[in-house]
Amino acid sequence: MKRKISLALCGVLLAGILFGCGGTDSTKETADQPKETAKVSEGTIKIGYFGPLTGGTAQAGQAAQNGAQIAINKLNANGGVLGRQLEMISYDDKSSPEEAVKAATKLVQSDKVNAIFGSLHSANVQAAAPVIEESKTLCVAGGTSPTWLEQGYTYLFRSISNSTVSAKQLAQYADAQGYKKIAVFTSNDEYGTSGADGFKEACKDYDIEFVASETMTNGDRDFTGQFAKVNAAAPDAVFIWCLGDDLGAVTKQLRQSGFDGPILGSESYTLPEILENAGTATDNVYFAAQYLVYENPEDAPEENMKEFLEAYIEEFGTAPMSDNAFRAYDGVMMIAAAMEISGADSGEELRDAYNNIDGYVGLAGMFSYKGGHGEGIDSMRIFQIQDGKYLEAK
Amino acid sequence: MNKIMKMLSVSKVQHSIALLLAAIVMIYPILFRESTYIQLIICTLGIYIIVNTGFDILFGYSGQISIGQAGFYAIGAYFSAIFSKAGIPVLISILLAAMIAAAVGFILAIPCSKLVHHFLSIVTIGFGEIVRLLALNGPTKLTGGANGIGGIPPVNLFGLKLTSNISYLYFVLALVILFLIIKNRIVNSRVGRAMLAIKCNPEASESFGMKLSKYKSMAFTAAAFYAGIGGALYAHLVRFISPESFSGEQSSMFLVMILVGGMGTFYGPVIGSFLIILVTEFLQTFGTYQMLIYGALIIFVLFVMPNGIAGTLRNKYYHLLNKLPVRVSKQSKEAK
Amino acid sequence: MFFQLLIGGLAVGCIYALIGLGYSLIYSASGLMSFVQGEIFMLGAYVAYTIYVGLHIPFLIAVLIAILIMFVFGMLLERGMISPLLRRGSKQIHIVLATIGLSIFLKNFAMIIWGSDVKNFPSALGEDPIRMGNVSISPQQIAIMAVTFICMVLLHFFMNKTKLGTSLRAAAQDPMAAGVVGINVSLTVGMAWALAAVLSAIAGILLAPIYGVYPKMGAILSTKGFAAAVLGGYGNMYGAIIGGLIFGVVETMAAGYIASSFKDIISFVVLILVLFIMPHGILKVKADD
Repeated sequence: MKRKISLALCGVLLAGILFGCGGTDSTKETADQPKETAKVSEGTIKIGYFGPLTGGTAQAGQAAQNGAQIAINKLNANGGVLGRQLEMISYDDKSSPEEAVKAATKLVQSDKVNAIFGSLHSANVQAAAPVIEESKTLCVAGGTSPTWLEQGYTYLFRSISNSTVSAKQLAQYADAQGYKKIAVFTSNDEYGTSGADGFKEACKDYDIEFVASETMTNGDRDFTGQFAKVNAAAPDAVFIWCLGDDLGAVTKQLRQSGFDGPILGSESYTLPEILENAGTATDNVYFAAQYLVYENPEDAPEENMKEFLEAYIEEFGTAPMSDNAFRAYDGVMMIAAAMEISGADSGEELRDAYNNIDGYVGLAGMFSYKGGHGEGIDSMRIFQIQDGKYLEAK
Repeated sequence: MNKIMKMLSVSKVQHSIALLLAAIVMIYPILFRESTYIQLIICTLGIYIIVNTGFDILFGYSGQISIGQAGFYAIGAYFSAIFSKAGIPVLISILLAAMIAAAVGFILAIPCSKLVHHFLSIVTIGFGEIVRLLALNGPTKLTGGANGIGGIPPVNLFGLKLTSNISYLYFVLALVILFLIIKNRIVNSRVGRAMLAIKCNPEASESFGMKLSKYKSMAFTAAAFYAGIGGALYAHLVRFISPESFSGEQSSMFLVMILVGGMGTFYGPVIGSFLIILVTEFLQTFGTYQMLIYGALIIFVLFVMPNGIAGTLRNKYYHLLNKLPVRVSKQSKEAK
Repeated sequence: MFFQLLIGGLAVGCIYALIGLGYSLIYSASGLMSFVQGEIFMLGAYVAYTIYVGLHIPFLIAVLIAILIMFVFGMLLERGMISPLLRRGSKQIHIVLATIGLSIFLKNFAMIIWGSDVKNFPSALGEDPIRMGNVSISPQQIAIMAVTFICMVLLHFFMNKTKLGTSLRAAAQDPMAAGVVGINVSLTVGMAWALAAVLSAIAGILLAPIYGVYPKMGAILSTKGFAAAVLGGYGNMYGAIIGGLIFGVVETMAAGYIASSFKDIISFVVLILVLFIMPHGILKVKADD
């Protein structure tokens, strides 16, 4: 009796699968139709956000969410976009690709957002990309790894330069300074690996030899073995590409292990806590970044940055803790700009309008997405840390 | 209450309830076609049920603590991804990957059967970590390293591509039922009874002529196979895998699921997986506080139901029906 | 390079030893596994940070207060969570689950109260490393090794020469007999957990100047400390120390001579191989079945 029931169940299930499969196309249609009618409907414009709100990079995720909020506040104060107010729907992707897929699915399927900003980690962006692409939702992300824009997704865009640009700048700088032997020390995740690969690739044009190549795991704190090898190789400079929360310990230990030479790094060095954690170890650090994270709006040279910082401090009480706030702000503002230009609030038309953005001045500088396959800006500056202060390097 | 319990004990009633639930589960997604998010969750639930059912064979029935099931889960996922991307038909990739996981489980089980308790648990933790680290630092061409593997092909069921969540859901459900039935068979057979005997009293079982290592290895291999299937199914669902999904936290989650649900019972892993997923989804509304509440909840559940939910219910149920001697709830410390 | 690696490995090994000691203490006193030692390590560092940096209390006094607080915490943990669960019929694995739940709770608690940024814990000994030829040792590393040694000596003295310590050992060996002789067994179990918490907290305070203080600092240490304890012979205090030092040295040597990316893999492989050959750990402690 049991067996017969089980067999019957399996049969029903198989039928269900076939039914479900046959239904794939119709599911897509029914999903599209509400969107079509939503184009002309009233109601708020929903901007979705997903990023690491908990976990090791929670600061960056929260900063990004805040940055997006500032943008939305500003747009709403000026009458909204297309005459409608904006609201943000945000989910935590817990720095995990699985959660990123779930968050993105929720945003595009349940909440039916008009556009998305997120995520900050390239692995999470990659995981969520198929869902976002299939639902034809415009998505601007803040991760710097070039990989997720090389896969052929047409709905993904980036609101900062990618790490290849930083790598090129740093390689150029290294060559100009005459560094011939460089040791590479990176985190073994996607961020670190793509940074290292980009830098090594960029250095091919110059006469630079890589004398050591070491890695670390995000969260680890003991680098005795790695630094012993680095020092044994006697490099002219050390290239470090790690996430911000590790950098303080890394820099300090590298100095303590006996290396006093120049350090070449990423924009993660703009994280304010690193100066506190590493102290004088940060002297002689040179890094490529889109912008600095200013504690005081007065320090900001650009007008729009000053305005942003003042609004941020007023809303949240402190200056942003990570440059991801700027990435999110630029992203949301450009999404809004695309909406205004095209009159569309979602879908293919909005994506095409975004693709045509040319000459938009954001916090990062001048964006131009025409023909960029999702990349909009490719200029980074080299900064230097000396006595706990950031200076632009020559 | 007594009357309800008595009614529930009748086989026929149990079966019809099971059928009813199964029917609801099958019809529900069709009624809610739009909600692909819920379908995604149900698919994940099905996968976890499969993994935890296998885990239960290992832990609930033969008493071996493993906190490294995510390692077999990862092996299943990665190998299935690699095979299917290399051109092998997806269904065969899944099977092959699970068999590799089972083989690794078997190899690991031989020396592990000598270990007990904390020794076994640290070895399994170490195993889980090693698998994850190999995926991260191993040959990048194969495992994708930190980038993971993307573009994993969907399951191809005799020509039908299961790309939508809803079709995948039914596929997973079918497998869940299949594996639950298999587990039931194993557990109710001679092998299953031998495992229970070993769990309760290894020395006595040995003196009866049972070869401990044989049964322990069988349990390990079965659990590894189940976890491998689960991992492969996961790979073809999300179609992107990276080492971050296979950390010690994932192994912990499996452990939490079967402990909360109740080990050594048929429905325990099902209930546990269901509840934990429900709780984690529900807690999302609490934003940054979600994991805090989750940790507190685990402790709270343990205070209220020390043997897990199904375990405590079963104890109460048997108690009510006087099928077993009344269990004194205050056990002495020596009982392990 | 060898000596640099050796010193680094010993320093890290001392930390693993301290945490492993905690695990062994708990196991020998109550027969339980605890998976929350890493988070106690983290909590100890945060408490010390708050008192030292937040309240500007002089370093040594701040450390003493922090240790006291963590002692009470460990005691409360045992009395308030572990014992009640055991009384309700929880088995060993349920206690493991409870400690896992607590570790998740503590990690997020720290994140919410103190934030997830890395806090700077200024070293009381200064930052400048001592250079001897090719080898540079930071003052913190010296402190770690010295303090661990002192802890070992103190613990040995406590366990063997004091009444309380001897009753702890007695209760661990045979709770019923100890009870018959008039030893308050439940108090000694509480003490064991409290001592384990103190050891983990000390490790946290030692490492805070090097690591910085952040919620996830204890996570990997939970596993490695446990591994150290098991490697050396679970339940044996001296085993935990040996296990910790070996683990630390193997790990650092592997990173230095083989490849940093395989550092953790090699440590765990060595651990598993050792356990396969010596299923009861190095100091051949019998694992109660």
